[in-house]
Formats: sequence, C-alpha cells, structure tokens
Amino acid sequence: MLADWLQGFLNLLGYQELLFLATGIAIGLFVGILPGIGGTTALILLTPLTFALDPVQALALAGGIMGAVPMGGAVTAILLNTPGQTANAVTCLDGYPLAQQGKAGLAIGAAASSNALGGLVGAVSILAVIPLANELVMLFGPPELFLLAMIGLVLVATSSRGGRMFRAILSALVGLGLATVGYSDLAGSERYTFGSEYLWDGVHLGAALIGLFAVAEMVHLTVKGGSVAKADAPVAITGMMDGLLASFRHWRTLLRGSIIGTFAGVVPGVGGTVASFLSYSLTVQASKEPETFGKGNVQGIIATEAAINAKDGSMLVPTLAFGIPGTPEMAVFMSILVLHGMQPGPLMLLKNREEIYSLVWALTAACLIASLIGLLLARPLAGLTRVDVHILAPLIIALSFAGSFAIDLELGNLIVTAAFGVLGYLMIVLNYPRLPLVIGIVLGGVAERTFLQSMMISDGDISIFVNRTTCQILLAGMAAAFLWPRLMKRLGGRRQDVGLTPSKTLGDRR
Amino acid sequence: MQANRRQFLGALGTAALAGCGGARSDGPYPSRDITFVIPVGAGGGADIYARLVGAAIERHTPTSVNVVPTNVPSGGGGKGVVELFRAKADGYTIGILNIPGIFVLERLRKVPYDFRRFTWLGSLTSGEHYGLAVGANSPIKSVADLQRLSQRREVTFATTGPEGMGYTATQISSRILGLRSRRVAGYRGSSDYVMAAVRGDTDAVVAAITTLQRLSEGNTVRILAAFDTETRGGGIQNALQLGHPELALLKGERVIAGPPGLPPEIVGKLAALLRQSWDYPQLRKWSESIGETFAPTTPEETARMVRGRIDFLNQWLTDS
Repeated sequence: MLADWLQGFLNLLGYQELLFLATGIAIGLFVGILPGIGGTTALILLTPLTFALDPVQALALAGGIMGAVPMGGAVTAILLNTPGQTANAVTCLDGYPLAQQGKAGLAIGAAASSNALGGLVGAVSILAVIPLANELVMLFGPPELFLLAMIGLVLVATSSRGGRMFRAILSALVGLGLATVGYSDLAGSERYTFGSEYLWDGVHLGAALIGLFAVAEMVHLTVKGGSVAKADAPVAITGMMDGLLASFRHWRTLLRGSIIGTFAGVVPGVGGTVASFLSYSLTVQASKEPETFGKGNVQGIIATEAAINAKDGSMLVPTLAFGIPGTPEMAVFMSILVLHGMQPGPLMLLKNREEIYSLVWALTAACLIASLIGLLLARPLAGLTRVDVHILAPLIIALSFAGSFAIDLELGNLIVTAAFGVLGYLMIVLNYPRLPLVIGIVLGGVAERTFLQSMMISDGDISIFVNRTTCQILLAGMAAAFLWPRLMKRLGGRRQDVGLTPSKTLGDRR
Repeated sequence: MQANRRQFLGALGTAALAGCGGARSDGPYPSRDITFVIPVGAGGGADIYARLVGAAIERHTPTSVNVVPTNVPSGGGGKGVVELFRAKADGYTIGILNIPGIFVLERLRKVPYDFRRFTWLGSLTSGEHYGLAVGANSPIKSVADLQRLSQRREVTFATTGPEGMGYTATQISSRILGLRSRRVAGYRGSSDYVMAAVRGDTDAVVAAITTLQRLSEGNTVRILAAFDTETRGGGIQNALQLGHPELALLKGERVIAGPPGLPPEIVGKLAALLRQSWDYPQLRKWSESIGETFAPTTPEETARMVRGRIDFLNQWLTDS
C-alpha cells in the first residue's frame, strides 16, 4: 500500500499533470470566493474538458478544484461574513469578528494553516481509513444518521449560553420548519409549495445562504455606515504569522477538527457543514473560555477549517468504494471517474489504488498551495475591510445576486436571496443567531428522512435507536454533548466561589 | 435623402440582428445552440449518458452549433420534464427522459405535462435490466427462500423514493414473484440502497443488474436473479428460469425526446443526428463498460416501445 501511495505521488509530477493541478487550484480559489458558485458548478462545467485528458490529468484537475475551494470560501467568510460554501458559514462566527477588530490577517493566517494542516491530516488518515472502508460505511444506516442529526441539533442549543440559547433554538426551529418545504421523496407528495414548481426542491440552500449572510450583512453595514473593520481597529494588516502559528499552538483543536472531519467524510450524507459545525461546537464545549467564541476566538476558525479540509480526503471512501457520493460535488466527481473508465465499487480500491492516491495527493497539494496563495493575497484582500461600505455594499450585493442566479439559472433563486436577505437583516437587528437556522435547514431534511426510514426498517419499533451498537455510542455522545456544558458551568462556578476565575458573560452578534 | 437614411438605418438594423448569435436565423436546421434538458442531477448514469450523446451529436452539427446540457433535477426530475414539455417545438430543445420515470411521476401527483404527447426521437442502447439481490452474509440463498420467507412475514426491500425506477421495479417484481413485501424508501441512489441491504437494514433489493454485478465483485452482495433472458452461472436465475418472462420487460430506458408538436422534418434530422452519434468512441466505451449494447430505435419504434412499457406498467402497478 505504501508503494502505491508513493507511486500515486510520482504520477502527479509530470509537467502536464502539474499544469492541470495548478489550473484546478486557480479555478477552485476563484469559485470558492464567489458566493453560491462552489466546486460543484466548476466541476460540472469542466467535465466535458476532461474527456480528452488521461485519468491522472483529469484527477489532478478535479482534485485541484476540490482542494482549493474551501480556502476561497474561508476568505470571504472572514472578510465579508459571507461563506463561499455552506460549510464556511461556521468560519464566519469568529472570522468576521476578527476582521471587524482589524485582525483579518490573523484570521486568514489561521484559516490558511488549518486548511493546509487539516488537509494533510486528512490525506494521511485516509491511509488508515481505506482498509476499514467497508466496516465504516456499514456502521451508519438511517438510525445512526438520525442520531447524528440529533447530536447536531443538541449542539445548536448547548453551544449558546443564557438568553442566546432560547434564540438559537428558535432559529433552529425555523430552519427545521423551512426544511419541510418541497417534494417529499418518501411520501411522493409536495408540501408548502403553493403550486410553485420552483419549490419542488424546497428552499434553495445556496440562495438562502447568500441572502442570509452576504446581503443581510451588507444591508446592515450600509445602515450602520463606515467599513467592515471598526473605526478604532488598527490600520495595518498584521498578524498573519501569528495566525499561521496559531494552528500549531492550538494543535489539540486542529487534531480534533481533523479527526471529526475525517470521520464525517466517511459517512455519506454528513457533509462539510455538519462536520464544521460539530467540530466548532465540540471545541467550544472543550474550551475553558467558551464565552470568547463568537467574538473572535482564533480556535473557532482552526476547528472549522481543519474539519472541512480533512473531510475532503475521507469523503472519497464511500464514493469510490461503493459509488455513494456524500455531496453533489462528489456525485459530479464520480461521473468524471466513470468517464475515464474507473468504476466506483469494492474493486476500485484494489484495482485503481495508484489513481486514488494520485487524487489524494492532488487534494493535499491543492490545500497547501491554495493556503499559500491565500496568505500571499491576505494583505490586499484584507484591505477590503477598509473600503467604505457605500462602495463595497453595492458591489457585494450585485455579486451575490449574480452568484445566486448562476447556481442553476433560476429566477426563483433571486427571490429566495432577497427574502432571506430581509430575514437575515432582521435577525441581526434583533440579535438572533443565523447559523442555527442554516443547521436546521441542513439537518431537518436528513432527520426527517432517516427517522421515517428507521421506522420503516423496524416496522414502527422505536427501540431501533437503542438496540444498535453504533446508536448506543451516539446516544452516549448526545448525552455528553448535553451534560458537558452544565458540568463545566458547575465546575466554573465552584472555581469562582473559591476565587480561581473571574465571571464572564456572553453577548455577541453572530 | 430621408428615405435613403431610413433605408440605411434599416439595413444597419437588419445587419445587426443578423449578427446576433444566429438567434433568429432562418438558415438550415440546426443553426444555433441546442439545449439538452437532463432531468437528473449531475453525476449519475443518465447525466453521463446525456452529456456523451450531446457531445456526440455536436460532432455532426455545424461548428457554431453546440449542444448545451442543462441539469434540471428539481422535484424528482419533474421540473426538467415540464421544462421540456413547455419548450418551443423548434428543434432547439431536446431532452432525455427515463421510462418509466415520467409515467410514474404522472401517476403520483398532478403534473403539468402529458407524457403521451412528447415527440419521441429515439434511443441508442438496450436499456437497463434489473435484478434481485441480498447481502453476501444473508441466510437467503435463492428466490425460493425469499418466497418461503414471505409466507411467514413481509419481505423488506430497500429502495429509492416512489418516483425512482428502483421503487417501481421493486413494486412490480414483488407482485410478479408473489412476495408479500414492505419497502423502505428514500435512499438516495442505487448504491446507497443496495448497501442498506448489505448492512442488514432490509432483506433484499431490486436494482440495476450492472450495479449489482459491480458490487458483487467485492463479495458484498449475492445476486439471486437477473430480470433478463441471459444465462448466467452461480445460481443466478433469469426471468425465463423463474417462470416469469414478463420480468424482462422491467427495464429502465433512456429515451431522447422533444416537446410536443415537433415538425416532422426536424424530427427526421434529430433522429439522424442521434443515430450518427453512436460513432463517438467515448459513448461506445462508456455504454460497453456498463453492459449496455447498441440498439438504436427510430422515432416510430421508440413510440411503440414507450406505449408497450406503459401498458406493462399499468397492468402491474397498484396504488399500494
């Protein structure tokens, strides 16, 4: 296996392969920055071009795109509170506050290093995961996926403190409600579509995200005036080296995020958003200063970006081993494989090992190089935080609506973006967190489908959620996720009583 | 002078319009880009096939004419079907339709199309047969075992949602084989629901035989039956050996179609372009890799085939 791993690397060193890798990285960074476009669209557009390429060249191009997109998405999440991809929405929580404090350099540096290191950990861990592919994919069926969704929703509640918890829960409930809109493929019927064919697929998440974050933020800034960076924030763009080193300083956070991302990638249907949110929430819970998250704690960026990039490698496992793509991006990538004579299935991990490892190396190289480019561009890009909002906002809003339409050329997307822009602005003004709403939409559909499937499997017997070993482990995890903050609070209270730590309150805008 | 200026401006305007990408060109068909509607998401078998067919057709059209694939997967593919149905019948919008998918959609809910009115252009391949399988570790070794089990309790099948071919194939094959069954629906693709059976979530699955063969190579599934007439070893019974030759009609067909009312001369040209597209090496290679053979049909043959399939489905589908 090691020989195949090394050969996969050597296969990538031809000048044509490197050229396609570089092209993929450039495209990935560019589409990652544009809200709504993303890796899936880039791969779809480039698929016909890959017809003429040999398999390793096609994989180098695809790997370059997939590995670079997260870094592009992180940059806009930090500078403009606008996630380039859905998974980067969590990066906004601490990345944007840092940009407002004039520490955009620190944030981008941390994103770059955790991007690179998370991708490296993911690439190495896939070596460990591949031999266990069969067993790992088999562990997670509908009951397990339902409990994973429940863990995500419990973390939404427990990640917030005090009065924010109620608002976070309410926001998540709205998201869960919105997740019911559309055509239910289990029931074969439509819900809340009001006769509109556009709503057959439910609320378009990409268009909603653009409105909720990009448009809402720009409207809020316009009303407030000024620029992204606060008036009293330092003018010089500094801290990139500190950001780079932060991932090493907080190596436990990096490792935790990478491991969560790696395992999340193996489970089809979990995806980058859930992985990044799980990693972030568990980091908050494990922290001795959870109240600093959401206000510009660099660990929030490290946890998220490490998870997003680590999952890219392991997501190949169910895709390649069983032909089960966990995301739309993987589905398109699978078509590129098939077109080049590589048929996903159990034998692919045996027959096409070198090609698979070439792809993993391409993904890893793309993470590293995209991170480096992100660092080089950090200074000029961070200057955006100084641009007056009356110049920046119209540009960002125009780009946002253009990106929303460009996702799948639907006019309905523009209406969704506008509607969620209004909703997002109201949520900012009324101090309701927006991320739980996104998590609710993402997890709501998964939770409903997997719950109903579980009931079909067990013929209505609810004990299916406690009888399976993996379910029991997940239930224990859910209990820990719920009880851990209370335990920490109790221990923190005792430390205050004996004068060990000062009291702190949480109050921030997400 | 004024008339000359008017004439000059009119000529300028005409020249400008004529230069606008051929949008209103009266030249021979095709003279501008053709949209190829694909009512599934990017990356699946139907998507790959449609893109390859589109690329192949492009090789036989004028250089300036592109075939532009457009994925419209919303609503289980229904939106793409509607888009094709409502398109202008000028030959510049065609699409790929799954039989029996569009028929099943129409049965399930109120849709703004009548599938009988599409203009059938043809198909290129033999279609996808289905098969019955269980997990490799399952105690069930044959169709007879499943039938005995069904006498004690309902046999559970993992499958897609009701609009998917897997669901229809499961429903019909269970009835034909006399199995009392319960479907666990909602899996996202054939590989996903086959793995459900391997995991033990359900007793069995009905899926495309090529998918089952691919997964059986890794000793993940055991194929009990193939719903075709090919003779295989390893205890795999075919439709004839099962005593139900009608199972061989349970096929997923990918048909190229145009909107209702397409003029006959354009139908003829599109049908010819479709047949010529088989010389595209990538298309042949991919079809062979998934076990489909070249079996072109004319528009008339396609229409007959569609009617035959619908009659078969009407006979066996119930509202369960």
